[in-house]
Amino acid sequence: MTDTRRPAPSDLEQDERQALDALGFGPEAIATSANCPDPALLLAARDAVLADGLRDRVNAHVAACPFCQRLAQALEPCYDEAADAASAQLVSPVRALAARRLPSAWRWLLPAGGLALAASMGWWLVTAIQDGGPPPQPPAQVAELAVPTPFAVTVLQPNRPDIPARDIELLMRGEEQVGATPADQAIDALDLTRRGRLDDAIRQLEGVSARYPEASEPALALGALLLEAGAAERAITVLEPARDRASDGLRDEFDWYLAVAYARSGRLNQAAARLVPLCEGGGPRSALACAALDEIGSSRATR
Amino acid sequence: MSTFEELYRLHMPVVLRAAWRAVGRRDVAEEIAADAFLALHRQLDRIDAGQLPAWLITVVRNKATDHWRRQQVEQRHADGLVTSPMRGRPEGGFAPELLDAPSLKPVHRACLVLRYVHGMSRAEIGTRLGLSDTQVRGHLQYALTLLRKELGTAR
Repeated sequence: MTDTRRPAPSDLEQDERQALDALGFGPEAIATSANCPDPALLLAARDAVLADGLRDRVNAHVAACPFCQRLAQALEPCYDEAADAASAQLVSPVRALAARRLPSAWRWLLPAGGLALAASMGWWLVTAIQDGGPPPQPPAQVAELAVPTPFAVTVLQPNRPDIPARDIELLMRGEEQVGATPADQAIDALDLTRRGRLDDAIRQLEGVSARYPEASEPALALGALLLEAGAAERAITVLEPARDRASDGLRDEFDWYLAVAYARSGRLNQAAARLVPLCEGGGPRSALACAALDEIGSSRATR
Repeated sequence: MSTFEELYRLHMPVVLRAAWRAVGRRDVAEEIAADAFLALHRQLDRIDAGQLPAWLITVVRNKATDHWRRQQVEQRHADGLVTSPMRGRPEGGFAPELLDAPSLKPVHRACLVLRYVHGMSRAEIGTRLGLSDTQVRGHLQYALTLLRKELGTAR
């Protein structure tokens, strides 16, 4: 029989060892069996989201293993409690967005709160730069929150399927200085997304961008579609160089999509740097930018 | 007709619960829940509100199944079964009887088993249970203290 015992956790601390000693368990007793299935499989097997063969084996093991029985019983309320707490976090930004419809005095209180948060974020960035070192990175937990939740889900994803095809098209048609050529070709490419041909649209926009390297509109559309395709880093490489040659009307859009791309790639500092002027600017993206900053600020506050 | 935001607020708790139970990790559960609502948003005009949250739960279950397939956990465990079958009782010395202590709450019991039976680090337990490292440390300390008291009483 092979040795199936796991070693004891390597990070046992002194007080932990003492407590275990007091219970009569030394390190050799803590070294445990590797025969039990991954705990994540226990409720998955019960809820039948596993393939039949594995599900039957896991359930058979649980029926005979007191540790797994107790763990399965304990995990269910733990998961539910944790899920409820996480749901509350996820839902709160939606409430913030819905609050835009609130009447009377609340209407000015919310932007004022957003501005205060934006100012705090700006001050935080300034002090980080003045300290001479790199800006403090958010903890991994906060970075995880940004991709894909709750920032992405509540602020970005509800609009995501419609933003590139509809909003950018409207923006481009509204730009007087945009000639027929690059913008119209970009709009043709965006049309493909309505038919579910995202990859084709991206390829077509790459071609348009290559033919008109000085035009910012195809780059904006390409960056937005790359985001939709989950390629945040590529979106950044497309959007960053094109932003500076964009007209004033489109520059906010570049900043917004860059903020999204940075957030999805876990770089919240750079996302915040793009969001602060958007939030303060009072433009069409202002409310969303303030809500996103709020989200990032709350995540940092709960560290 | 309900707006997407209303549906999101109403159904997110139950959807996230289902996802968490199905995959056992916060990060994956949130991703699956987000995917389910994204699917709802895309088909909002075709879904009757009366079909919710059952429709969302079905999406979650399908995505959880995909998750397990993608992780190749099934294959890995199936391979493991050949040489190391899941037996009825671990070889460890951490007495299962202790885990019956009535004063232990589910979170204490879960932390104890994950750490001393599965050998997980506190960080890994935190990821599974949606807790911070400090919270896991606190739960473990409290659980061991409770067990010590009960053991002393029993003696």
